[in-house]
Amino acid sequence: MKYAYYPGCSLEASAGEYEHSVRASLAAFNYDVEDLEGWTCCGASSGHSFDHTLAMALPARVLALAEEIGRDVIVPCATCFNRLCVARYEILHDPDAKADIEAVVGRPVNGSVQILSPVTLVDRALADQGVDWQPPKPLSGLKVAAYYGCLLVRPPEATNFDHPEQPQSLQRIMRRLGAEPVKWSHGIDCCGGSTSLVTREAVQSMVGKIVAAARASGAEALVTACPLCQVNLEMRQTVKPEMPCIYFSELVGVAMQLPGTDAWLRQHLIDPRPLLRSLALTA
Amino acid sequence: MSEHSLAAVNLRGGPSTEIWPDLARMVTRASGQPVLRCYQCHKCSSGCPAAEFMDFPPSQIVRLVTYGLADQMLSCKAIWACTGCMTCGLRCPNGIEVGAINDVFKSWILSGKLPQQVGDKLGTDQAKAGNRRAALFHKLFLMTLKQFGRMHELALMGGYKVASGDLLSDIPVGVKMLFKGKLPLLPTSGPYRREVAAMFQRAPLVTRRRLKPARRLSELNQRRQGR
Repeated sequence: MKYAYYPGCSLEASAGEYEHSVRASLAAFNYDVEDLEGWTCCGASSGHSFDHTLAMALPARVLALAEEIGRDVIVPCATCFNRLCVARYEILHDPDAKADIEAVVGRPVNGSVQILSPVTLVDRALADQGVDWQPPKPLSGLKVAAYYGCLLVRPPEATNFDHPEQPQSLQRIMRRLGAEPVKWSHGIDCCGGSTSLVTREAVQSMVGKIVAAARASGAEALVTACPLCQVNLEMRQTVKPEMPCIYFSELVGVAMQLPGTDAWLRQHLIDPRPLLRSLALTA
Repeated sequence: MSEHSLAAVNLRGGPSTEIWPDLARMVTRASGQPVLRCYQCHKCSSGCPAAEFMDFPPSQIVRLVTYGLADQMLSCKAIWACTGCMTCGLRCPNGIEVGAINDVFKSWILSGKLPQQVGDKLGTDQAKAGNRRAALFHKLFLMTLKQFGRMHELALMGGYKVASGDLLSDIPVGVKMLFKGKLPLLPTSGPYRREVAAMFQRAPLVTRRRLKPARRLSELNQRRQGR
């Protein structure tokens, strides 16, 4: 089965390492993906602050493109994932809204395709591997805090992602790859990513709490699937030593020894390579 | 929490004592949130990660709306401090997402089109006063998006830094991001940008038309029953 791939704007720029590592991870698990032709921005957090119909129509256009080729769409960016899911939910549950959205988009949208996060796909692929499967390079000794943030899990009726308060898929992936996910309290707390530029002090305090909680639980790194969180968590840390925030797909790359891993890890604002090297996970 | 107590809604002093009785109904229609169901359990305020930076925490935002205090809503800091994390909506026993209520007020201010009854009492400039930066960020985001059809992070961040006058604070991290290849200099764009620009033209018209005929509360409640 072939999937449509909707990267989103962040993955073209500030989340280049996520883009490349997600593509490599999906390929490593034999997912057949093809870029969605002519995709546009989902409107993210500013769209819904400006106009509700526009905030629904922008992601609905992406859905319409996927429906035209009849493929389920893979959305790595948590913000895009959320906007697409919310738009699909509104289209499926509110006929008036559906008509309005179609009028604005100028294309029919039925919400007939599935929206998938690569977290779900990698989780499923690993579950299919059999109990004695091991990656070529198990991440032994790496203690990570699985950080989901807001947008994958909320609102649960629209995103249908794992459990809204106690999601487990990232932990399952990490355990399968040989890493040790810690038990901690801040996995679905907000890092303030959407207001990072505007209210810096507030965001620094929110990030500080998350990093402190991860450290108190014994984690040496945060693992995430959201490009907004990843940049924000690395950019707004004020306490030394700093804790790297690694995309789950990058760790898939390390454990599966995929080519290009070093180039992804090099792009971080807080370099995770010393940590991985100290555990003899990378050269 | 003492400064956040209900006394903060000073009915006899403060910026205005004007009450707009239809505000709750209007916000219910615009946000899709069953505002009048709130019984002030404060679960939203307890779980809100940004509550400590707000003048009115989420539960009081709902209260302001039900009391019809439009002026306080339009001039408060809280709607801009909201990160839109939706924790309030997840935990509310009545299915109210306060972030969506904040979005309604933000959209009134950003579009400069306050509903007439509210707008008569308060100029948009006054509403924007304390919150220029957040409003500026959203405006720049949407301008960039309308221009290219996709986001160009360098244009957004650079534009925001210059226009807000907060130029120096993030230079080290910005330079680091440029060198790490995280901020490509050129935007990507294509013929699809015209389609997006057209959507920007059509959407506000549809929104306004939608809000005119009063949608029945029962209809909204039905929609929320998925929870």
